Amino acid sequence: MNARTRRYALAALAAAVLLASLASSCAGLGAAGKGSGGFPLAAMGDSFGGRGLSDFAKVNLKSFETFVLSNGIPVIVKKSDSSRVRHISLVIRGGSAASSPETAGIESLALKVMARGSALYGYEAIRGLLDETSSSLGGTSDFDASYYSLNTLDKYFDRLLPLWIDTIARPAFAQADFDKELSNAILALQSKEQDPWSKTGLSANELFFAGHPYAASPEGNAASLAAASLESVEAWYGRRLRAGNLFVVAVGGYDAASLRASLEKGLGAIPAGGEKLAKAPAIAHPGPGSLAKVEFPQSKGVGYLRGDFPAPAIDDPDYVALSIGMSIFSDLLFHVVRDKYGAVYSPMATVRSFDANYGTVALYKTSVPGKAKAYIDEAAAVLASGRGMALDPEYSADGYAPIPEILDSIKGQFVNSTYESQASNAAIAAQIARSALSTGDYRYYLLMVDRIGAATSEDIGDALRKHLFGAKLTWVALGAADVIADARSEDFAAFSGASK
Amino acid sequence: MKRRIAIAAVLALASAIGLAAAPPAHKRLANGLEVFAVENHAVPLATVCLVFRGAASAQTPETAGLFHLYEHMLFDGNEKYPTQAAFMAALKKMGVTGWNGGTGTEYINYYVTLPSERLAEGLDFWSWAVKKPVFEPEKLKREKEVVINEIRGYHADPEEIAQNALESRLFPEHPWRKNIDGPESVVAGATIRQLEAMRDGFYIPSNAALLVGGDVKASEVFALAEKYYGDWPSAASPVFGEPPHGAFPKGVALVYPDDNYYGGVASAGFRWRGPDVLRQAKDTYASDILLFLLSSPVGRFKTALMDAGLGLYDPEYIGFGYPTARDGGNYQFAAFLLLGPDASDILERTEALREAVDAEFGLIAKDPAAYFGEAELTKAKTKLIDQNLLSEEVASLFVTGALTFWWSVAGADYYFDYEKDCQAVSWADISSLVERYFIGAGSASMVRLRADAYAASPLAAESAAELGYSEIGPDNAFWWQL
Repeated sequence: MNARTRRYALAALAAAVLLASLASSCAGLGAAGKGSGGFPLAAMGDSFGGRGLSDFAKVNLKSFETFVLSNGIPVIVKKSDSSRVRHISLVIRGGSAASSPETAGIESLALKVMARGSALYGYEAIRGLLDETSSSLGGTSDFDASYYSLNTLDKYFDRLLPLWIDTIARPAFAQADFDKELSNAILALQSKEQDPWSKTGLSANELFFAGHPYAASPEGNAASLAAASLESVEAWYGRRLRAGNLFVVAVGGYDAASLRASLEKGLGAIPAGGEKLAKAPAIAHPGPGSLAKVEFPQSKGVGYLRGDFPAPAIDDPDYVALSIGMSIFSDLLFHVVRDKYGAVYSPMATVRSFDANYGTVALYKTSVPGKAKAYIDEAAAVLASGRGMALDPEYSADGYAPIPEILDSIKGQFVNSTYESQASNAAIAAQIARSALSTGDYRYYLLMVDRIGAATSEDIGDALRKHLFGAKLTWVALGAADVIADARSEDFAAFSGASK
Repeated sequence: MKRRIAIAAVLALASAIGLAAAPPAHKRLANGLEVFAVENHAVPLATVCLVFRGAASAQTPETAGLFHLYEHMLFDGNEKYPTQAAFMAALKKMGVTGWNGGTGTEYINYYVTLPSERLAEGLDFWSWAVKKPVFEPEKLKREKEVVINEIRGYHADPEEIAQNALESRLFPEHPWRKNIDGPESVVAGATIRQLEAMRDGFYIPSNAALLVGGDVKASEVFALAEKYYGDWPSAASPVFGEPPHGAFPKGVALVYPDDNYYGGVASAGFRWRGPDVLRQAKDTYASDILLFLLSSPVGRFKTALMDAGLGLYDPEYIGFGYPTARDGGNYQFAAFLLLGPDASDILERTEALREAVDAEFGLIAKDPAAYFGEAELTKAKTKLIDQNLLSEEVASLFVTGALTFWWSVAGADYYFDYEKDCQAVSWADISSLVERYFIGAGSASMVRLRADAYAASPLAAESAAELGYSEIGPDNAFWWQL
């Protein structure tokens, strides 16, 4: 909120692992639905309600209504009266991974141009309306999908919905709007290049995703943006804005019947069809781990360290166990690297939730990135021995305890995090969208509590041995030359969890 | 109302910090601790947040950066949880999903979000940290290293460099009251005695508020607050932020050539001394309405600037803000200017932009109703209330963000009457405000551009000398470097 507030720890990193949004191990789920009442995004069908669900899931299930527009676009409505905010998103299958490094960023660019003008609304009318109603309209992309969203208050929804629809169904695609958004995209990319932590991420992605579809980053790259044109944006729109690629998620105090009528009228004419988009393949990294040193002269006296490794996707049985294991690792890193050695401001260990998934171990602001790898290894050795931070510091002389002793507590935190990640209507919509995209069932996120509950210490140990220890981490150390000078490749080649 | 301008890739519009439409329940305990309860039953979680006034605004040259260090030390142990490991274990036992502490220019806060059924444990947890902290030399030594790691990043951050370069010159009598981090030397030399003095002077109930939001009942919050914080000994509230900062020195004009700055654009920013919320409260309401009158990228103010022929980048990248402050309030304007291969005229264009902004303020002061249109005043007030509604959607964010801010900077009475007082703002108030704070007041300026563009345009350096601009960078930005 306040750019000038100093936090005890970098919150986004400290909490990252707990925000891993989806559980796994729903064996047999496919992306193609044959679900309840024929709704195409309910792949688990009627059995969904018969699995001993948590109370939270049961209550939430009652708040859904679904329907399909005449051209085949599925719509998921989740009624929520906890605030006056209404959120609606058009989800477009195919994120930057469906593009290429040469055309990366085209999805985001197209969505932003759409938000600037349509057949009925010019730029001035749109900006005036959004300003007057304190509303937001716009598009974003990630590796796997794109989203075009409206966030507004209930009292303005009837005025804003036609705008959202018209910019989807009949975007103007004016040259001036394209030029402006292209310029904005270039500035945004420059902004990432200027920030040492963002730059660390860009450098890591460039190395880690080389040869993989995720090498096409959602924000694009200098060359792809330089090559972008209004024609390419329009061509993307023509290919992707097909009913077969789309679904709608709405969360708020909606009247589903009324919304259905409006959407049918506005989006029902979007042409049917759509490309068959395969999920991105798993990331494979043979060979030893690597270290790339990136000089960033402005970062005087402080460096940034990040290592990425392939991880199971959310529909893999190992996903939850590995996520819990990484949370335990994160606590150990905090204790060893920050508390014991004072060598970092914020450490992190996390697993993400993309289709081609990966995990990250990182140190944010360290003056000793070279030495710090040994500290990371020290924490990893504790984890590899089947221990984490004890709940009772007197439990042992070193403060560690066997994972079975702490597991219930860790799992409790994960459950609470699922609640926290549903605190706003936009956040709920994101969970629903990710569920539908990754598993074929929009309700899947509600199973999180059960999936976490089922994870055992053995599962966690197995997942860590399979995916983290022995993994070939791709490391990046970024900072001023003198800060990263002592980071040696040989120290970063292995990540075994073995004690030294 | 708090507003800030971010000169970043997606800068421009001042961010709103809202108020709850339905006011939180509020109570003051006998020892002076204020308690707020915000009921929001969206998810079964509760956020417990403790806020203290002071932070940078209470610093001296000898304690600059120590509120931030103290904030870290509070996680290092107390009489119930003697070590950081014990502290973290307790968080884990409670099922905490989010926790942190923060130090700003005018407040320090600490918070956890936990299952609402464990609210009592969360309240008990923080009570030990704030009432019975234990400072040990070894822990202090290690925490200094952590903090120095952290602040080195800020001292190398171009945004911080730009901000500090301006503020160390605009508030020359007490610049340490605007910088949270302080110099490394003060942090490195901090003593336990200094921390104890800070504890006794600032970490007291009459200088604190307990903010609880989420799936809670106000009556339960108040009862638990009494149970866990009622025995916290009262003490006299500290005095800080005195004497007030003076008017801005005349002629502060800075140019910051930065190797990493955006290509193709420069930014121009202006500042005017604004009201301090406890000294000129009425002016702060008019200031917030003024922000909303100016906010539209297609409104008259931004359109006029775009049409002035100065090569502004985009109306959505023109920002005007007033971060409500009790200590050194100021208005902030920023815009991007397009920059060709030759940056020779960038400072002349900046000065022309300053004149254009001044001219618009002149028109606003003369007849704001005619300038904006009669109906715009009502719309601006509606926008302000709508932003408040939006801000209260997520209880944890509201408590740790908006409510923390309003209580610490302005206080409970200001907070509860805020919408009513903003509704009372008239066109005459807007005219008077602009007349007093902008017309003839003079503004400070800051221009940022890429270093290579600046170096390749020797005429820019010449005009800097002519127009009175001084070059700044990481070596002369911070108050301890001047």
